[in-house]
Amino acid sequence: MNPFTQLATVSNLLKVPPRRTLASALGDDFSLYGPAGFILRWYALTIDLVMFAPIHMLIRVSMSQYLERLVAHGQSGRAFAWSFFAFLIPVLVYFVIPTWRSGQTLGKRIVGIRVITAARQPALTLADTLRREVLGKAASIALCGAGFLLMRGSPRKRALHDYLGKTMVISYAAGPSPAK
Amino acid sequence: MLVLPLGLGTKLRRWPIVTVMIGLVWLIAFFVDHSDQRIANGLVASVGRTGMRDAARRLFVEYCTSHKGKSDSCHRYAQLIWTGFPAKTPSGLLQAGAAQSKIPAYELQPLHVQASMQLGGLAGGGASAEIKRAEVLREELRDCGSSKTCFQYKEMIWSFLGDHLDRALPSVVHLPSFRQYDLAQHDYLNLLHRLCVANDCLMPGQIGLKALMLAQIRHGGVYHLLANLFALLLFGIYVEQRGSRLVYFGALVAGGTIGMAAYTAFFGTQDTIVLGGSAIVSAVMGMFYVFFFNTKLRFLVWLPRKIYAGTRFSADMRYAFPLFFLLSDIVGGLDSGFADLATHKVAHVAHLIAFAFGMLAAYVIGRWRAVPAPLIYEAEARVVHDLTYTRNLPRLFSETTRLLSWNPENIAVRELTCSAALRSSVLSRQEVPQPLRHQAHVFLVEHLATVCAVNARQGGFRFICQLLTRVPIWLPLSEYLGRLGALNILKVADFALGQAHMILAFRLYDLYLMRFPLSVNARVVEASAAEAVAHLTSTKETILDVESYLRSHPQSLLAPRLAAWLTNSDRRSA
Repeated sequence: MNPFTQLATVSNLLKVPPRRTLASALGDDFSLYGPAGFILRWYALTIDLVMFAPIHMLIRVSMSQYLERLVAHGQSGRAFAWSFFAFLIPVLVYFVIPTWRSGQTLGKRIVGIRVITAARQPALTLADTLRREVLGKAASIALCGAGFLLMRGSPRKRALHDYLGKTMVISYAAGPSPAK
Repeated sequence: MLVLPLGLGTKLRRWPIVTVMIGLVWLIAFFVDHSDQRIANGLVASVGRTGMRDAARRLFVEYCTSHKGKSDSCHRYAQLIWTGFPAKTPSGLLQAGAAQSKIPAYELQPLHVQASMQLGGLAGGGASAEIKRAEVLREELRDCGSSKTCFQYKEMIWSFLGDHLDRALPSVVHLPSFRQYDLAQHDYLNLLHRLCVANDCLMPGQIGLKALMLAQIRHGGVYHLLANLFALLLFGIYVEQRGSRLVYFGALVAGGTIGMAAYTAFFGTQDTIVLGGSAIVSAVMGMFYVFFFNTKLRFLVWLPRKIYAGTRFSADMRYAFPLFFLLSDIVGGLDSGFADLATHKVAHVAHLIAFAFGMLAAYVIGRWRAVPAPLIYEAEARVVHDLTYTRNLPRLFSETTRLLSWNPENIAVRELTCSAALRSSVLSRQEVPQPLRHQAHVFLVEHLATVCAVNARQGGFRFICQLLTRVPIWLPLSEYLGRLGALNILKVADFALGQAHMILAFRLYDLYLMRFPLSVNARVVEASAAEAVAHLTSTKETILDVESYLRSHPQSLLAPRLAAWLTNSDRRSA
């Protein structure tokens, strides 16, 4: 038998479930974390787009022949609806659901930032998340990116989609800051 | 904006000899073996000799007109069939210029599609003009929009290009020029087969061991070679560290061979010539994914902020790897080339098969030579096992630093060394040499918070308490737990309180209040700590502990309450 399988860390032997006391009653204090800056959020968005593109392509490519045929046969409306659907599904899977459940997409997790409510609570509602990720980001892009630049002038570094979704983004990579 | 993967981004524990040797073999083969040029020239000669191009174009025009295409348009679009190849030459020789041509960057692809696109720049003037005209046509067809006619032509070209060699379309078989085309195709495939036999290249109907091995060494162009070399070095150097070199070599060659053979036998068209080392690379990537599933993938992001050096990030391997590498192959495999008529460049299916084999091989190796989860290399497990029984602290520190440079996620060795450093009371004993004491202090500052955070996440609170109770009482915990999160501090303090480690609990609450005085939870934590102080049992040990804590930390926020408790207990005992 392989001797390496016998290796067990001391901590594994001493695992005990935590008692539900002060920590579980209070939860994490998100007021301790500072807002995430423009550059950090840009990094997260870049990484997200790199990860998102293959998921979008996967759906898009498998539908491309059908979509082209629809357009060629004058059914542009239906083709547009299907195109929108092909875009919405990966947006929901990659952006909306993870943000709603954990406040983070993969890019945000890598960079170390998290979406919380404007009242500094961790739980986002689905409606707020949809407003932020779909409506808000579409609006930010539609304004030639001005919606994103809004965060530079905002005291809590909130972009247009943050205002629409009543959210803000905090940076937790450096740990909680002792002083606000 | 550019995102570049860096593999694990850690130091290597030994030279990746096998990986480097494979890369060298590829390089030598690229510079010494010029069979790709011979094959390309032979292919051009075969098309010219058999009249394959003319026959195919004639057939396409008939196919097109029989599908209500206009004769002019059909002749125009026929230029997309075998573009750049010579027409039938009476002598069977190549046209001037074409003999100098070569197929630069194709890999695992149907030649009649790809080679036709790439020959133009190197071929003679006539062919070059044809290539330009074909480019215009391709651009014209790229986005048909709402033009039904354009789409009909596009669909015809696509189905004709995609299928005519393997499966004759039913509507083609009855066309007048089909017989002539069939004869030309037969001659062409025969010539191509003979060419492949002479050059030992890999194609359907000629899947021998020698051809399979040579195909994995040869590359179709410098970019093809460089891309494969980059990926091989990026992943191979880490996979090779995992265990035996022989097993690694066997697995990657088997993976590459199976990927190439399966693709050639089941997915390639009759004139597909398969070559390149990307199946080997895919097998290596499959092994990399399974072996390092629980680790992090490092990559570099270039943004205008740090354009000169980029910024490094780490991502969980389990999510990032499939999104970065695997999905693009799946997408490529799905893309039938309809959208832009020519995306058959890479044999994605061969990559996927080799990747799956690599994963399977790694899984089997992982079962056979298992390594516990936080560790990733067999040698690492062996060293950790040895270190478990050592009492030599300097050796422990140096070995731990070495192990962490291989695998920064190795929490086992951190736990081991933190425990040893605290157990031996190296920080308190005056007889311990100052350099060693300093080394222990620095190590604990760097790693104790990480050990506590990881164990808190996994529920190992008892272990954390065991470690922290050994931190000398005169040392403030903030020295070592400066990076521990607020919630984790509270969790550990709660557990310590529940286990009657009162002094440790007070030290942790104190740490929380000192570090996060502006937290919205600070008042509740302080009240809770005060209540715990009030319920403190007055034993001799507790009094001694509180006294020494107050002596060392008179400025702590809980000091007034602890002092009051001490005075009361003195009064009670008096």
